[in-house]
Amino acid sequence: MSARELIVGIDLNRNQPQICYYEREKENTVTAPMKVGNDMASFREILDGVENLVHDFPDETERDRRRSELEQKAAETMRKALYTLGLNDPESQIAGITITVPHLTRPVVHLVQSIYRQLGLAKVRAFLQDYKESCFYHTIYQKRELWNRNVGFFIFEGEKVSFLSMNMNPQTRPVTFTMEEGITISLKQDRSLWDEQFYNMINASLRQNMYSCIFLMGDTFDRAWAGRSIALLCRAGRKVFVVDNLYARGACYTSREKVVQRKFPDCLYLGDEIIRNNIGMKMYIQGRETYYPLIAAGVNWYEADKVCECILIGKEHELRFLISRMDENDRRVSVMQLPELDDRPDGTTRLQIHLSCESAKRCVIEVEDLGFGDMYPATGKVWREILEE
Amino acid sequence: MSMAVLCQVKRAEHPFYIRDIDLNIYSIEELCYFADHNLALVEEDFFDDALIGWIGEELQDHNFVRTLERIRKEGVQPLGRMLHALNAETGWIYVQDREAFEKTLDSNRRLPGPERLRRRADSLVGYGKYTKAIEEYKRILVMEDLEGLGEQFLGTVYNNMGVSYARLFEMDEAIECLRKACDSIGSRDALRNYLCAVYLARGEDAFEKLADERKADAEAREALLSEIKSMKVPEPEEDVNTLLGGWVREYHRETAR
Repeated sequence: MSARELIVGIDLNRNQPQICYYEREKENTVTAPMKVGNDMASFREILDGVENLVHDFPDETERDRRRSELEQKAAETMRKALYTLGLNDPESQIAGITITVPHLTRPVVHLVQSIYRQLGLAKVRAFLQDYKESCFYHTIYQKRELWNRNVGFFIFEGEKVSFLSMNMNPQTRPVTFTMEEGITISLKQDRSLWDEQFYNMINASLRQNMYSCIFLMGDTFDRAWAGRSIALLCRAGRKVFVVDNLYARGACYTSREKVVQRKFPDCLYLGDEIIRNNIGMKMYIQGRETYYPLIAAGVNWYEADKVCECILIGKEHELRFLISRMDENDRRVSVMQLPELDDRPDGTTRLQIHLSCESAKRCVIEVEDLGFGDMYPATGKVWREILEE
Repeated sequence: MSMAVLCQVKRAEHPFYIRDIDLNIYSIEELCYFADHNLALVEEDFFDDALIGWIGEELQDHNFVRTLERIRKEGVQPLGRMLHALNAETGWIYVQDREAFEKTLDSNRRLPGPERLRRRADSLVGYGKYTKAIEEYKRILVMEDLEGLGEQFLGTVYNNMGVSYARLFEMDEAIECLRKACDSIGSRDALRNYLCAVYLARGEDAFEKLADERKADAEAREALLSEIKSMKVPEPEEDVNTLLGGWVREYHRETAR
């Protein structure tokens, strides 16, 4: 395998992690369960561990130690799984990689970022997304006629069936796509009732909306019991596919789209993880009052991270943040007070401002007093504020 | 309403040391603040190779370095133009009235040498750098162009030098300087400093004798005596080592050359 030729997508889940890779030279896509040697790779303990850290380890030092252990273990498992596939040097062999997870939480984001760091995979070629975004990328890499209207996904997980609708707004440029969660049902014990249950669910989910294509995923689905339902799904020329490994494939397509070739520059996915607000400040820059963007709408919340330093001018111990929706011109002001900041001569307080996000709707601002060199030493005081949509 | 000024130049990992006042500088803003508030300490050679090198290496502000080097090469009023460039680099945050600042720079440039040196020495006193200040006052006294500045100027130099000696507890030198200041200026303040030094060095009888000689009025004499007597004697801290350590550090700071 030649250097940096491999495009990878990984479905990182508790039950059966999957890997999908694509070799540019051979144009060959392979999807397989992740294995370490002959055994299935398992991330269950690691994922459970990071998500329960705060609960299991109230002491911060212990928690950090445990987090570090779990991160090392995750990177090691990933390294071994890649090695099993013949990837002994991911840093030089992988051109692009995307890990997809069911839901993006701060602990999972930290874990994946740590795996990338430890494997030497830089941010420009290592990505992270949730299952919904995988569905989007998987879909747009199918034939265009399959997604020229809405696309539906029925997801079978044991006895639970849920519906996801990929809705397109062709009126905008670029064309925007959203994922809407629909109803969820529980299949009854008696399998003979499943077809009727599912038939009703299809009716309730699709209603009068136009769907060009439906994907069915999950082990519980079987054509044998779903005759009436399949007939309903196929009505009006809708294409219906039963697919495996969709999330890993979707992740692989994401890597391809972001690293190899931007095939769909006119399509924009507006996922739940995308920040819809611009956050900035009015600052003096080169002596002029200027709007200084801190977080730009349109990026994933876990990628939004900004650090800057400023000198505070004026008597009020406060910082003023300007917030605007990506689709509106109006701005609102959020004032962050800095109580107990030392009184110093004007212009001798240097502050570090750090913005990061805990979700698409929740931004954390941390401000630290850096003082002013030896003249007014830093107090190390830190103020924290949450901006919520 | 407060405003924030974006810091576009990174802070230094290793500070620039301003020897005159024993101060470490870590950022372009600190450098600008120091220069604007201590114009008397900023001499023609302030932006020397060491400072310009530090700005390039530590602050990585290469554009500013190029500006400074260009001004230095052109050689026309370099200090004023460099200070102007420094303020422009930080967006003029420390200068309220740019015109007044320019005028101050210009009038400083035109000051006679002894007056410029006196202001520098006074600034050093303000920072507690008494030994250095005394050296500067001595340099003034041997300058050739003192005549046009008058007795008042000389008196002020002796007075400030005397106060610096007193701060170092070199009381004989302090008394001698303050006597000369008193002779030159003849003001109540000068006499007050002189009397105070004599009291502290030689006791109340010497104080009374000098007050009689100098015909100090009774009311002022009483007020000064009561002020001296009410001065607090510092109580030693329980931890003698800490106290001594503090004194040693203070001594080195005040006498550093």
